[in-house]
Amino acid sequence: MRAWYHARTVGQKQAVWAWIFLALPLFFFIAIRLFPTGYTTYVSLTDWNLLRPKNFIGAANYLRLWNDPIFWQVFWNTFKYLLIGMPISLVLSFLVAYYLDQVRFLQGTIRALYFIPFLTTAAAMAWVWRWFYQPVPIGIFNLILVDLGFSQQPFLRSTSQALGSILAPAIWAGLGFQVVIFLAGLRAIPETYYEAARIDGVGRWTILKEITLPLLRPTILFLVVVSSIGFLRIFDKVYNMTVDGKGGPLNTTRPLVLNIYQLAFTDYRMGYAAAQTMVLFLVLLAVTVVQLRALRTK
Amino acid sequence: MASVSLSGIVKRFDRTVVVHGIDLDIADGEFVVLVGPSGCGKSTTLRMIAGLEDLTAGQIRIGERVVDRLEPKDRNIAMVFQNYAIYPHMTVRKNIAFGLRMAKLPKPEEDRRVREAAEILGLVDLLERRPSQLSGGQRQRVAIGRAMVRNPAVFLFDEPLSNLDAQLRAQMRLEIKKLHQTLGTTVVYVTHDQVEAMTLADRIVVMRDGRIEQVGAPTELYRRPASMFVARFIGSPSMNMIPGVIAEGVGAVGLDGVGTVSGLGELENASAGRRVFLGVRPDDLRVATEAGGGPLSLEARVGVIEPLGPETLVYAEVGGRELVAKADGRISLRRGDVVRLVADVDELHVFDAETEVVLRR
Amino acid sequence: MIFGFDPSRDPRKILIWTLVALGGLVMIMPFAFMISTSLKGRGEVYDLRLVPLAPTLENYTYLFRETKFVRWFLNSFSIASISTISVLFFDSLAGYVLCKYRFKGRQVVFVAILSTLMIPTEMLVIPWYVMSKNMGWLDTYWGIMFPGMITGFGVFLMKQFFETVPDALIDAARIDGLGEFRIFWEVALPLVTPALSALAIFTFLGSWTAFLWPLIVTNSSSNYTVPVGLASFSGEFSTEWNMIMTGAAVATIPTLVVFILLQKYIIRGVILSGVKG
Repeated sequence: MRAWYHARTVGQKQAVWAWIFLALPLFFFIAIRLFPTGYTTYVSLTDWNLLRPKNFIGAANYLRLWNDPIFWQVFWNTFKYLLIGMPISLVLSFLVAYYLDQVRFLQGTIRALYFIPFLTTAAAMAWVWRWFYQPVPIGIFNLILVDLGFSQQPFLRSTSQALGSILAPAIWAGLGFQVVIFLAGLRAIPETYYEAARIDGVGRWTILKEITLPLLRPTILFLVVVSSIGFLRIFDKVYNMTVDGKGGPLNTTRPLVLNIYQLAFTDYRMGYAAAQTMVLFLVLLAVTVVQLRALRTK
Repeated sequence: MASVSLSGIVKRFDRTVVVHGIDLDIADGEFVVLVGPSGCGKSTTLRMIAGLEDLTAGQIRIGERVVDRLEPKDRNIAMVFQNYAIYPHMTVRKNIAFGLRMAKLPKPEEDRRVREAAEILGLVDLLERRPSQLSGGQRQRVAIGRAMVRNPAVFLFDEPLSNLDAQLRAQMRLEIKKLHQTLGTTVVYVTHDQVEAMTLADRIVVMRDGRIEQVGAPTELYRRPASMFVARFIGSPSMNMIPGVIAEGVGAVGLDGVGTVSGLGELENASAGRRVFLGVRPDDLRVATEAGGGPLSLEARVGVIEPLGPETLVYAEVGGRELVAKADGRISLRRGDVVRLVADVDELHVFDAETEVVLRR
Repeated sequence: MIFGFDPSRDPRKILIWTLVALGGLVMIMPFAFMISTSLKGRGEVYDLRLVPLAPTLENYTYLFRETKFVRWFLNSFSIASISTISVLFFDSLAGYVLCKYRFKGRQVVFVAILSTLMIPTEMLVIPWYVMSKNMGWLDTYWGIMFPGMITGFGVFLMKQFFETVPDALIDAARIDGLGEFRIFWEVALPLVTPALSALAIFTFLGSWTAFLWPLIVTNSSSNYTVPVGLASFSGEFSTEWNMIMTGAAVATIPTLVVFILLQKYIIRGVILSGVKG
């Protein structure tokens, strides 16, 4: 072994080391990431329920999914989180970053205030917000409403308000990250562009529209994708804010990941759950591909 | 101390051949400079000597040993890199001593060598500093010190001065030369700067596209370039090239639109009608104060003038072509003046236009 | 003029500052209410003032004595620490190799690792569960940790950062006679400590706040992590909001402390890597 090693050239010795160093990580990625990906794909084609052996049933799970009203409800819920949450959080975080960028006094501290929710345990914060939504005399939101002379709202107990009520803390938690990224993007724009615009007598609004936003394009795209993926994968908050973690009332808040969790680990319908993870995977893949495309066109 | 000998060195990266079979013998104690434009394979050659790159083919000996399969540390070499490559997280002392520590040298010996190197390089007061607190020149000294303490048989320098400003470069050049004279160790030095090559080398190896173009002492390369490439590469401003054609009769070349030069003597492989270039260095092309003949005597119109003090560079137009000449600094010239450019026959070079090889030695 | 802020000169700036700062205060109101309520006695819960009339630690004492929070806390802490150390070591080693070595198959390995970034955790929990069941890892520390021992994100991040270490430095170390592992450990690694600290913080926080997988893989309450424990505890105590807020505070306060101590590194890390781990 030693003699063999010494007979290698310098480049060959380095290759030997490279593979030694990579051996464990590579094994890990194959065993823990790549192989399970294939395994899930396979399970999605079976009727496996942990109790009896797997039967290959072809695309039956996918057909069932196509005809399953609950799946479609869940799928639509997931997109509601995305389609409402993503634009609101982006606009809000841009506004905060845009104005925060213009102030100097205590800027770092204010940025930190916005950022803190991003780091905290989602499960814990979900319970805090759940408490806020309680009826009088417990919940602060309803107390404020009543104090201002409005009527109480059901929030999490209502089929029409629950999804929005869960979305609020989700937006709140992700806002700080987006503010920080937007701020960094704004600061990366060279001051000379603004100076040149000011010398040309361009107004504030035009500068924003013609200089700032176009130059922020990569940042915006990045945040669109990251926050889209975040909303598509929403789980912790819904699990902790709905009764028994079921995504109620009447499944109106249940997102795809929660549905997968219930199917796989409460009902043990592994095959059917696996088919739904494939759907999630394809949606996430599509988002990423769209991003890569959009980045390339510029 | 040791000689270095390269035979048939080839380096291929994937499909591209970077070095095409180089043969070179470097004597013990010699200072050899590999010079050429970027991408000519000079750095790769040096890295193969160091053991940082594998050979695709060929053999390298250092002293009597074939070193092809030895790791860098076992080749008895030391190397100084372009970006200094000193460890930013270690003090100067640790940087210099690092290789010795790896070689498990006894501590007193290590200290002695570090002190000795620091004294030679004027680093004694800086030993406890960190690289970030040093100037570019000081960092380069640390890098040299690190190489010195190993007492290597061969020093390898990879463009060590290219990150320094012009003044510092000239100063460090002198120090490296002194160091070589003091230590007497074999040096292989890579640079793209022909001035560095000329001033430092015992012998220069001019490389181009992975091949050796010419090997020789600095003055030899300057006076007797073997090809147009070497002629242009060595010397600044670079050699004037006037296209022409070999005329009937011995040693005569007809220059395009300018006239004929004769008295060049025997030209190798010269059949009449062959396209050639007549080369003459700006240093040898003088602005004549009086009208007069010579083997080369051209009427020219002065364009741009660059006074350098003792002499003046004159960019003059001859037959629609710009030539560079030197004039005595005391002559006053103005744009548009018509002057005569002359050169001695000994200073004229003739190159084949197609093969670019010299026809007259 | 103080801090580059001259109130008398630009009323527009004052307005902007006030609005942005008020927004920031609103952002941390949930924490304020959470902590304040955790300090209130049973009788004071329905009183929503921010400063408790009679602050008491009785909720905390109860939580630490009568529930398994201390245990969950230790579970989370051990798991997050071990995962972080493993991620730092293996991710930086793999990133280093992919950045600085030239060998056949390098590109394939890199693409393979990169492609794992595209696969969401949710798609892998079923095979992980089956694997854990077969290997007897269900309801163990290792079962909670194993999917996060090495991360594609970290490998990618470290690879990017090793680009800033000059190749010549590694060559110089080879000539100095350092072995390949020691070049990594003694020369390259010390030069990427900013990236390492960012990766450490993200990995630790990611592990600390992870919910879905620990929820799946744990069974017995003594093996819960803090978020899973909190969820089950809150479900049980569903009307005792001061207890739930105390639990939430215990889960949150460590991350707040980490943030306050390491704010500079965290924000820089977020900007550098652009993504949470």
